[in-house]
Amino acid sequence: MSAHAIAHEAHGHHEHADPGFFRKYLWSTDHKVIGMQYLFTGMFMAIIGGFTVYVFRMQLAFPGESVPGYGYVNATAYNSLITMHGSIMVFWVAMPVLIASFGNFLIPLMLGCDDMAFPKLNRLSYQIFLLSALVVLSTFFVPGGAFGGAWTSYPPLSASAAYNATPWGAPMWLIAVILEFVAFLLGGINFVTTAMNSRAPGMKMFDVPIVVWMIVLASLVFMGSVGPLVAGAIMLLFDQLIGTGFFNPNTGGDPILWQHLFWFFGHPEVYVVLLPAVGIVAEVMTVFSRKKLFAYRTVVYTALATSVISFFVWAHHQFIAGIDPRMAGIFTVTTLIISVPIAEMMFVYIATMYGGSIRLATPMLWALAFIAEFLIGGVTGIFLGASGADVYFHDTYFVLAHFHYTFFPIAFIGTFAGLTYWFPKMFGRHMNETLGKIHFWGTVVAFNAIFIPLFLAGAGGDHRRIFDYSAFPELASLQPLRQIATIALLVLIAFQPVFLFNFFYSMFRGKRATANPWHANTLEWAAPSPPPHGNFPEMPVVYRGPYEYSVEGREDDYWPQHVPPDDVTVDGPVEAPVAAGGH
Amino acid sequence: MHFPVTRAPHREIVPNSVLGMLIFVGTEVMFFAGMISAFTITRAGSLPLVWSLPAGLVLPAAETAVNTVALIASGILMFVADRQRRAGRSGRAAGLLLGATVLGALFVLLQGREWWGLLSQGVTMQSSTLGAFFYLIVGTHAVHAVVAIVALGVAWWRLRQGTLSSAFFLGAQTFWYFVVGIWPVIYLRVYF
Amino acid sequence: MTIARVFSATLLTLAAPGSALACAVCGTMGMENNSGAYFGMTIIMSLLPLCMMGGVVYWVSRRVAAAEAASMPHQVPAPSSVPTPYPASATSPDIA
Ligand code: HEM
Ligand SMILES: [Cu+2]
Repeated sequence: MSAHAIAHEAHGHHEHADPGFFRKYLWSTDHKVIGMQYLFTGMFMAIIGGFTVYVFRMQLAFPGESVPGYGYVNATAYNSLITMHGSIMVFWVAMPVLIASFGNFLIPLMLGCDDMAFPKLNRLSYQIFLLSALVVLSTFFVPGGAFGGAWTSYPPLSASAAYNATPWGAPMWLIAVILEFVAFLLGGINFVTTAMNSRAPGMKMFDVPIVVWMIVLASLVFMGSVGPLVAGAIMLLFDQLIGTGFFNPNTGGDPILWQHLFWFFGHPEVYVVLLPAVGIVAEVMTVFSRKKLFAYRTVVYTALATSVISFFVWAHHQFIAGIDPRMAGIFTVTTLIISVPIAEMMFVYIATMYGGSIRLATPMLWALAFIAEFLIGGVTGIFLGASGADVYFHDTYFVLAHFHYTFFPIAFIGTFAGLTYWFPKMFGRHMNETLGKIHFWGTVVAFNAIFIPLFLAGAGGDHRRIFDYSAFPELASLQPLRQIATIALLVLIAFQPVFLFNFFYSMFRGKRATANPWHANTLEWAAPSPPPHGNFPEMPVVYRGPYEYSVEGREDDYWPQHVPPDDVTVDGPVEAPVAAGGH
Repeated sequence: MHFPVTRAPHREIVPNSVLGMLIFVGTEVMFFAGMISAFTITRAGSLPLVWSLPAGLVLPAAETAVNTVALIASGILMFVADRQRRAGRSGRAAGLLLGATVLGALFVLLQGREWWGLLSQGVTMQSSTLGAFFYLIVGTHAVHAVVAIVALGVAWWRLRQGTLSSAFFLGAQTFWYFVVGIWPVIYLRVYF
Repeated sequence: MTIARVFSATLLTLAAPGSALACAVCGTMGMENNSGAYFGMTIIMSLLPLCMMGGVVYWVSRRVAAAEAASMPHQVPAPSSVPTPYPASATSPDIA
C-alpha cells in the first residue's frame, strides 16, 4: 500500500469532539459538507422543477382536463408553472449541482489541499443560496401565485402587474435570482482563488484535472457576465415596485434593452453550466477508457476559446426582436464560430476512447450518452444561429427541443455521470450497477422520445408558451406529437425513483468502497473514502499529470499523480469492479 | 485512526484577499458597466421630452466637481498611507488613512446634500428617465462608498490598535480604489 | 488576395441589411443614435470583461515570474518524508 493512500474507514471527525448535528451539517465550513448541501438542495429543487413540467405537459397533451395530483390548469397557472420550471432548472438545479456542488466537493480534493481559500465565505454562499431557494419556493403561495413572465422575464410583460397578474411573484422572483447570483459570486471567488493559491506542491498549471479547469473557467465566465443582468434586474425591480420607466417606452425607456442585459448573461450562462459537465465527462472518459486524455492542452485552450467567444454571441436570441439587422449578421457569424470549439471537444473525447479498453460501467454510459445527446443539441443550434432560418424557428418547439438537447445532457446526464462516478468517494460506498443501468436506459430512451417529437412539432409550426392549442385549429394535426412527448415524460419521471432509491439505499447499505475503487489517477482518490475533515492523512505531492493511464512499461495501467516516480507499488490488490485494462 | 491535521501548503502568489477582491471588483465593474451602457443606450434612443429633468433643471455638474476632487484626494491619501505602512511608519499611515476616510465621508455627505436639493425641486425617479438613471447609478455608487468607508474606518481602528492584518487592509484598499476609480466615469457620463 | 476579397465581401454583405431595420417599439426619432449606441455598447461590453481578466492574468503571471526569479520563496517545501517534486514547477510560469 502506498503511504499516501491509506484506505482506512473514516467515521466523521477524528480530531474534534463530536460537534453535533447542527454545527456539523448546517453550520459547517468544510467544503465537502457545503458541496453536499448544494447537492441535496439541488436535488430537491429538481423534484419541484420536475413536478411543474409534469403538470403543464399534461395540460398540453390533454387540454382542459384535470391533472392528477394538481387539478385544473388555468392560463395564469400555466404561465407560472413554465416560468418556475425554467428558472428552477437553470438557476436552482444546474447551477448548484454542476458548479457549486461538484466544485466544492472536488476542487480542494483534486488540488490536494484541505479546504477552500475562504471557508466562511463559502458557508455564506450556501446560506444565501438557500435563502434564494426559499424565496423562489415561497412565491408559489403568495397572492397571485408564482411569477409567470417566463424565465427570460421580458418587459413589458414582466414589468407591470397589470400584464403578468403576479404582483408578488414577479418582484420576489427577481429578488431570488439576484440572491442566487450573489451566492454564486461568492462561490466563484472561492473556486478561482483556491485553484490559484492552494494547489499541492508540484502541481503545475497543466497538471490540474480538466474538471477543475472547467469549473474555474465557468466561474470566470459567470462573474464576467452576471453584472449587467444584476443591473438590469434592479432596474426591472424598480419598474415593478415604484413605477420607474426604465423599460417602458412611454416614459422614454427601452424594452429591448432588457433583452440585451438578460442575454449578455444568458448566453454565457449556458457555457457556465456546459463547461463543468464537459469536465466531468473528461474525468469519467479517461478512467473508463484507461487512456490518456487526448490532447490535454488543446482541451484547455479550447475551453478558454469557448469562454472568450461566449461573450460575443448573445444577440442570437434576439434576431427577430427588432435589433439592427447588421448586428444580426455579425452575431450569426460569431454564433457559427462558437460551435467550432465545442465540436472540437467532442472529437477530442472520441479520440480519447479510440483504442482504449472501454468498460461500460454506469458512469461511462452516462458520459457516452452526454456526447451523443449534446451533439444533437449543438447541431440544431447551428440552424438557429443562422439569422435567416431563425426567423422561422424562433420561439417554436424547435428552439425548445434544441436547448433541452443541450440542457438535459448537461444538468442531468452530466450530473448522473459525475454522481455515479464520485459516489464511492462522497459516501464511501458503491451504488448498485444493475439499478444504475436500468435507470440509465429508462432515462435516456425516454428523453429522446420526449424531444424528437417536439423537434418535429416545432418545425411544423408549434409555438412555445401557448397554454391551449385548441385555439389554433391549423395546428391540430400536431396534437399526437404533443401527446407522445407527454407520455414519454411520464416514462422518464417513472424511472427517477430508481435512481433515488439506489442513491439513498447505497448511501447506507451499499458495498463499501476502498480509497481508489476505479483505479483513477487524480488526487481525490488518494484521500480515504469518504475523506475526513482535512481530507488527506498526509498532504499529497504531485509528480505528474492527471491522465497517465496505460503507460508503457508500467505494471499497472494507471499512475496516480501523487505516487513518487520510483514507487512501483500500487494501492493494494485490484478489486472486482475494475477490469484489468491497458494493452 | 488518528492523524495530525496538516495544514495545506498555500503558495500565495497573489494574496488570497487581493485576488478575491480583484475578482469581486471585476464583477462590480461589469455591474456598473451594465448600468452605464443602459444609460447611454436609453439616452440615445429616447425623446427629449420624456428624457430630460422637469422644467429646464440640470444636474449640478459644477458643485459635484468639488465632491469629485474630495474623492480623488481620498484615493491618493490612501495610496500614500499604504506606502507609509509598508515602510513601517504605522503612526503616519494611520493619520493618512483617517484623512482618506474623512474625505470619503465628506464625499458622501456632499452627495446627500445634492440629492436633497434635487428632490426638493421635484426630481424623482419617476419624474423622468434621466432622473431615474441618475438616482440609480449615483445611488448605487453611494451604497458602495458607504460600505467601503465603514471598512476603511475599521482598518484605521485596527491599525491604531496594532491588530490590522495585511489581508484586511489590502482587500479594503482594493475596494476603495474601485469606488474612487469608477466615480470619474460616472461623473463624466451622467452629469454632462 | 482571395482571403482579403472574401473578407471585404463578407463585411459589405453584413452592412447590406441595414435598410431592413424595423423596430416595433421605438418611434422613428432618435433611431440612428440608438442603433449607434447599441453598436458602441455592444463592443465595449463584450471586450470589457475579457480585458479585465486578461489584465489580471498578465499581472499575476508577472508576479509568478518575479517570485520564481527570487529562487521560489513562495514554494512551500514539500513534507520531509517525501522527495521533492520535479523541479520543472520552479521554472515554468505557472499562472492559473
Ligand atoms: C453549439 C452551440 C450552440 C448554438 C450554435 C446555439 C444556438 C442557439 C440559438 C441561435 C438560439 C436562439 C433560438 C431562438 O430563440 O430563436 C438558442 C436558444 C437557446 N439555447 Fe442554444 N446554442 C448552442 C448551445 C447551447 C448550449 C450549450 C445551451 C445550454 C446549455 C443552449 C441553451 C439554449 C437555450 C436555453 C435557448 C433558448 C432560450 C429561450 O428562448 O428561452 N444552447 N441557441
Ligand atoms: Cu445563446
